[in-house]
Amino acid sequence: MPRPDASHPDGWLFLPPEVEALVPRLLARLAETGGGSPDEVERDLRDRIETLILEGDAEQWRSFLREVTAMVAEYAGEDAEARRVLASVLDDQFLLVRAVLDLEPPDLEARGRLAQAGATPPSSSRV
Amino acid sequence: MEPSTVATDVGSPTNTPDTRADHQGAVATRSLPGVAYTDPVLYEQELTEVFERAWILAGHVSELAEPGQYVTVDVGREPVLVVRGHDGELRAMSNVCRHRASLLLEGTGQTRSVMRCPYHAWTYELDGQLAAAPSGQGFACLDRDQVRLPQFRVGVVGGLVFVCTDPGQMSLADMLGPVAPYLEWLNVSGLTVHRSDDGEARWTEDFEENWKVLADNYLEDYHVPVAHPSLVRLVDVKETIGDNNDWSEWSRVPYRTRPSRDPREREYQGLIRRMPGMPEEFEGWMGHVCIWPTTFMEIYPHHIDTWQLEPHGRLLTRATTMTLVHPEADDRARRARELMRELNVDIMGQDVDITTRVQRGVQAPSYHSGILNDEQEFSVIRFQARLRELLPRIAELEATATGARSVASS
Repeated sequence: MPRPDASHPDGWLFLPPEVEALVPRLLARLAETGGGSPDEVERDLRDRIETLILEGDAEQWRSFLREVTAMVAEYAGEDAEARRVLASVLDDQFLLVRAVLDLEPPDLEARGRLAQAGATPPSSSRV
Repeated sequence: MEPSTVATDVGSPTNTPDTRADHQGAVATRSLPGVAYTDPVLYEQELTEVFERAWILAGHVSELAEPGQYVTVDVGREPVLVVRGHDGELRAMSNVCRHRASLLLEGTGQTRSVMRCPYHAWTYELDGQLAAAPSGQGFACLDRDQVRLPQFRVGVVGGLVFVCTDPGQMSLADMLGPVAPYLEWLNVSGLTVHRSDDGEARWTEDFEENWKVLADNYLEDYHVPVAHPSLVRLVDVKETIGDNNDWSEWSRVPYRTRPSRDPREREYQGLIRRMPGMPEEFEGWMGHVCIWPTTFMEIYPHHIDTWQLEPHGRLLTRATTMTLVHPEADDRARRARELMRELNVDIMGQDVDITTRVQRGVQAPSYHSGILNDEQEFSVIRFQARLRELLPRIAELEATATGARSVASS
């Protein structure tokens, strides 16, 4: 079987591993200082990501990225390091997702919000 | 209990890569130069300094239980046979007749009470001593007592039989490091070699690629989600644990417990169950083993595949697969094995597609070497560090390639 290319229905599955490894834990840190329950946040995110891997598609993944981006952008706590790493990982996701989907205005807006979060300065050379 | 070595995050290399280049204040670990995958001088060094000095997997003890049972394997340029003697001893020796150099035995099997060369019927005892030669009176000076197949080292760990043609090499246990207790823990010795309907115990496939292209690919998971999406659905790579020394490593990764949407993967998930004798802690896990230089193992709960690479030329590599199963494997285990084999056919096809591209790419004049990921390609880093230690030709090639790059950019 040839290597699945970007047009293959599974072609987007190269995206989740780094997010699955980092995002739930780091977002839980933001939730902790933001007043939420970190364990619940982490568990829910892990479940959602696994569901996407098992049942989702590239469009659903992008919707998830937009949603998580909003959580990072709206964070107003003190854990700048977690926010910085999250913003970097998520911005890379928007750059990588272009291998399977064209970016749309909400994606560009999301990137802008990540940049405003102070973690990922816009870089024209990477767009 | 689990091997005594503490499981560490496999994303944490235990040895510092020894070829690094400063780059804007950061330190990058670079891959071997592209020319290292084609250079004829390096290839000769690899045969003598890597393969002919390493412990090479020859077979499984279940194939060598009775006197006269044998396995064969190539150790670099040296064909080697391992045979159980009438005295119960396991011996490794040259598989080359001392007369006109024909190979004595092929594959695996059972000899009679002696080993006979198929060319002129020189006949050897199971300890390698020449017993007799036809028309013996015609040789002017043949002293049979002085003719003996050269003997090599043989070692058994976890039921796996290894041979080494270098008397000065470290012990098998030292080379395996934490892999030895891991294999014991998994009860690999309690398994048996699966034979096909026509009796074959090995499956071989030739690749028109340098052996290091294939080894590099096997050693890292960085490409897995890109090339093998089915594995992303089947296993939870972020939960991988493992341990290693400079030469060998083991790791294991949990299967996902939620069902895949793919019907074949879902059927497979429903059949996963560990073999009798496997530790309870391995329930729901898939394992991997990498042993210097090119012995790899896929450890499933229902069977184990070994996959061994032998260089047969600069751009020709033979991969040999051996499958280990429980002697009383039931229909469920057989079906799980069939399904995994189907999945692996797909995965191998995907890897061939990738490595073919890499073999072409490393020959590009514009390519020098690449930056490796310290976390996800750390096994490649460690592997290539060992190659740099053993093979002085690599430094020459790197110096040449670096010089050419400097000239090109000046």
